[in-house]
This record gives sequence, C-alpha cells and structure tokens, in this order.
Amino acid sequence: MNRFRIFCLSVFTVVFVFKSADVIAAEGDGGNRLVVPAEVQNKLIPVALVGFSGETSSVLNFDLEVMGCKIVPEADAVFVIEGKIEDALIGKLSNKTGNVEFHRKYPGGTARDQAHALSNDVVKAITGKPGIAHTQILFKMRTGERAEEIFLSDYDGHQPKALTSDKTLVGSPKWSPNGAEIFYTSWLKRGGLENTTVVRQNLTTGSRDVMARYRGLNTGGALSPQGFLAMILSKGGSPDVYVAPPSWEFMKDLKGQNLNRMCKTREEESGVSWSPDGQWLCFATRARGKRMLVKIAAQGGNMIRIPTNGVLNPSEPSWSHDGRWIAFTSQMGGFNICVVPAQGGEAKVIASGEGPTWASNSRNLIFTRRGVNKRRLAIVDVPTKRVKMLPAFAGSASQPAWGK
Amino acid sequence: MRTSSMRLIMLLKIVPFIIFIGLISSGCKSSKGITELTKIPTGINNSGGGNKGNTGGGNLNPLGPGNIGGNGGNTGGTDIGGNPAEPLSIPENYREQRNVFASVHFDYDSAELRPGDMDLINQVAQHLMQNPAHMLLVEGHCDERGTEEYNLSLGERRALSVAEELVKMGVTVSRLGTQSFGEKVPLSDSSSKESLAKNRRGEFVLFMPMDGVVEIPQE
Repeated sequence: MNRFRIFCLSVFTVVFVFKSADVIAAEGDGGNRLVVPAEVQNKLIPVALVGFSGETSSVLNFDLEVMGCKIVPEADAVFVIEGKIEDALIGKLSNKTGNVEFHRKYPGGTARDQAHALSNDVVKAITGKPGIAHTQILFKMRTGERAEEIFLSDYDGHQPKALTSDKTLVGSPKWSPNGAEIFYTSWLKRGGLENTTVVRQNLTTGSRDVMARYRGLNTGGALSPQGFLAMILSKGGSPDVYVAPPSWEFMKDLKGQNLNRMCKTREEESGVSWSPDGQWLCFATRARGKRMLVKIAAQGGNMIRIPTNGVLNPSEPSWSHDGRWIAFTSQMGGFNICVVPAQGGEAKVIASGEGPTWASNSRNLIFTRRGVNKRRLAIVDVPTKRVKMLPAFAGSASQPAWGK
Repeated sequence: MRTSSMRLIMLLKIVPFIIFIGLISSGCKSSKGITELTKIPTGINNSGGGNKGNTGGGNLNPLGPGNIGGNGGNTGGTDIGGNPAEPLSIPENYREQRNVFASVHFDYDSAELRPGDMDLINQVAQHLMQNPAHMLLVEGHCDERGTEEYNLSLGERRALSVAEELVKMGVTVSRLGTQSFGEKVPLSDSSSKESLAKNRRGEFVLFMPMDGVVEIPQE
C-alpha cells in the first residue's frame, strides 16, 4: 500500500534523519525539484490555475491554498498549473520561464480524486514533500438531541460518512497508527447507564470492541506504534493516565490489574498523544494550580513538564508526525491553536480555535472553531498561518483527527 | 492482589445469582409479597436496560454486552479507598429519578465543593442510607469555557468530589457511580454569566426499584 509506504518512510525520517527534505528528494520522482524563490519561502507561494473550471477548479483551489500556495493571476505567478479535462484530467506544471516540471494525465477515480492527485503532484514538485489532498479525517458531529456520531470524510470535508449510528453522545475519535482502526469514546447506554466506554472499531469490517468500561470516566483511546493503548480512566478514584499493553483485552481484565497506571494525581489529566516513535506520552495536567503539558516515558516514570512559554492553560496536545512539534489549545479568554517545539519552549499562536491534530505532512493542522450556532472544522497552514474553513456540515462538528 | 483471576471468575458466576435473589426480594417488598406480579427480568445483563430503551444496534455489529458482571449494590463492601472497577449496574426493574434532589454547583474551572452545598449532599447521603436498595449516579457537567477533552476530565473530577463527600458521610461506595458529560449537556445554551454558572453542576440521578409493576396477561 502506497500510503503505508509513505507512513513507514516518514517514521524512518523521524527516527533516523531529520533532514526530511533530502530524504524525500532522494526517494522522490526524479529529484528534479523546482526551486522556490527565496522571497516566497515560508510565505504563500503564488501559483496560477489556467484552463480549469467547475469542481476541478474548486478542488485545486482549496488543496493548493491549504498546502501553502495562493492562487494569483498568471502574470503574478511563480508557478503555472495548466490543465484541461478530456476523458480524464490532464495537468501541466511549469515555472515562470516555461520549464515544464511534469505533464500528466489522471485517469480513474472521480473528478475530485483526479484533482486531488494533481494537487499532490504540484505540492510534491514545489515543496519536495508529499501532499495531503488524498487524506481523510475523523470527527464527531451532533445529529440530534443528545445524539452524536463519528464521521469519516475526505480531508476537505467532502463525502462524509457516519461510522456509528448509536444515537448517543460520543467523542474523541482517534486513528490507530496504521489507519486500519479507530478509537473513540461512547456514552452507550448499557445496563441502564450511559457509562463512558472506549470503543475500538475496525474500519474495514465495522466490528467493534469495548476497550474500557470501568466505573466512571473511560476516554482517551490513543494507540502507540508498538500497540500500547493509552487511556484516561477514573477507576482509581480520579482521572489518571493508564496504558494497556499490546493485545490486552478489557474483557479478560475487568479489574484492570494489567494496566500500567502512569500517574496518580487528584488532578484531571486529559488529552493523551503519543510521540510518533511511541517512546513518550504527552498529556495535559495541573500542578500547584497551574495547568500544563507534561510527558512520561512509555514504560512509565516521572512527569516531565513541556514548557509552553507565552501562553496559559494548555490542553489537547497533538505530537507532529515528524516528532518536532506539539500542537495544543491554549485558553486565555478564547481558545487558540498553538505550536511549541516538542521539548518545550516558546509557544507560537497559530490561529483562534481548539482541538488541533496534525496532518501527515507535519505542516497543516485541522481544528475546531466555534460559531454562533455550531462548531465547524478548519485547517491552518502552520508556517503561513492561513486558515481555510471546511464546508459547514448539517450539525455541529468538532474533535477532528487527521489520518495519513 | 486483592482478587485472583480464579476469584474473579467465581464472582462473575455468582453475581448474577445474587442479583437475581436481590431482585426477587426487592420485588417482594415493592409489590407486597406478590412475586408473580413483578416482572423479573431474565436477561439482567442484556443491553438497553433502564427506562429509555435500547439505543444500540444500527449499521454496525452490536458491541458485546457492556455491562459485564458485577453489581455495585450487591458487593456490599465498605471499600472507601477507591472506585469499584465495574460500572454501576442498574437492574432492569429500576427506574431513573432525575429531579429528586437539586444540583450542586461549582466555580469556574474548579471541582471544589461549595460550603453552601454541604446540606444538600448530606440530605442525599441520608436518603441513600435510609433506602439501601437505591443507587446513585453523580453526573459531572461543565460550562463551555474549556476545551472538550479538558471539560470531560473536569466533569469527572467534579462528580468524584461529590461522590467522595457522600462516602465520607457514610454511603457505601459500591452504590455510587460517577459519570462526566463534559460540556455536552448544558442546561442553557446562552453564554451569559448566569447560564454558565447553571451549567457547572453536579446532578444526582437516583435509581430505585419500581413499585408494583403488574404483568397483564395477554388475552
């Protein structure tokens, strides 16, 4: 599987080589990369779209703007993307002086699929990094009074599909590292009680398993690449972080005796996120009245603070796939999406919103923004801070999780 | 180790019988000795108990029974130290009573109990001690001024603060459950100060045996 190969490559990149651009150039298509002029590096790259219309045009616009380009008239563009639809989409990328980088036909799939594929090729050629236009997201949406469902859609919010139909409260959807399963928290009523339950669901078969339904809070459900499942449980008398070993089964450990309790505090831990190598677990807690992000080694140990200088009340951490950054929500009056180096330091405010998760390119974040009547999903390009709102869904949507 | 896996298996086998016996006895009491008039459910551990019906099913394989053995009301211990691991289990002939007690309230971003709510909590404790068959769920709720993940944990912390106080007052921990709803179930959608204050609450949900449910024979 191509996606899986990309995933492996990016993990290797994280673990062994930090110059990811070099690695990808070496692995990439011919290595003959276009050069982004110095004056537009880390700024929006001006590109022109010539000859496209309708859905193809709107998909290309959205994709390219998400991934760090801005659409301008041909005269102002550094790169020109020219195309047409014959029996399939045909696209050509060239630079200002007319040097052609590629000229390709995109048969198969829908018009949207073809346009996404072209966007990815353009971004790969310009930036050297794989595009994210083919990725998918999970999120939860309110569908009625006291009813929410988990949804899967294209990353741009198109083709939403309900993965649950429980008509119950639900939340915190998360992907397994290989993308084959998802985890979420459900308030499924069983035995007369809406006890929170961590559920695992296979995306191919739809089969589901209860991963935790202890007394009190059961949420978090984050799987490490090594198969350790981190959860927030209050079975010990207070919400704490627990880790279940690989192949652990709740139904065979109803007292939770084989769970590793990672911390024992009176505070309300929340929002677990693994480092991409699975060696660290990051979450939000509080010490001496101050809310903060901390990390703990996968095998257990002391909580190590991750300083988020310049902002207050961090929660909902998300560790980037390249291992370098942690995105989180800070709360100072309103909510802000912030990014801090993974070891901690100066936090940068990126956009207003909450609940960020990283795209596989470790550059884009998807997050939630509160509107007047409903919550909506939005994507930000971190280096340029440009925000693109996703189309509004029928119901209030939040807690997006970006897949690979 | 408090429980070996052998003991756990034993417990799982025994508990349904205890529940069964418990139901017969509570049925006797509530229907003045006429046991056959009280519907005694056979599938105690089936999904969809309570009075709201089964919400499961749909386009997915049904989950295994979430209610996995163990019944809070029958473990009978005086374990004040921690939460029993299994969720509180509400027998099917119990009904949910939401508005018996007022709610307690919390300051912004706090799970500390207010001194003014202590009388109410004491009243709840007295009720539970006088009605040994009753069970209680404490729901923790938050206002919208927090992220969803954070509020979920804060709501649980609030519910636990109330439950801890009830245990201190003498209620057996095994009859208590806590559940956070974070900011998912506000009483008011407005963002006024009053609405936010109203939403930061702990709700008492009482579960009690239904009195005198009568099976009407089919013609």
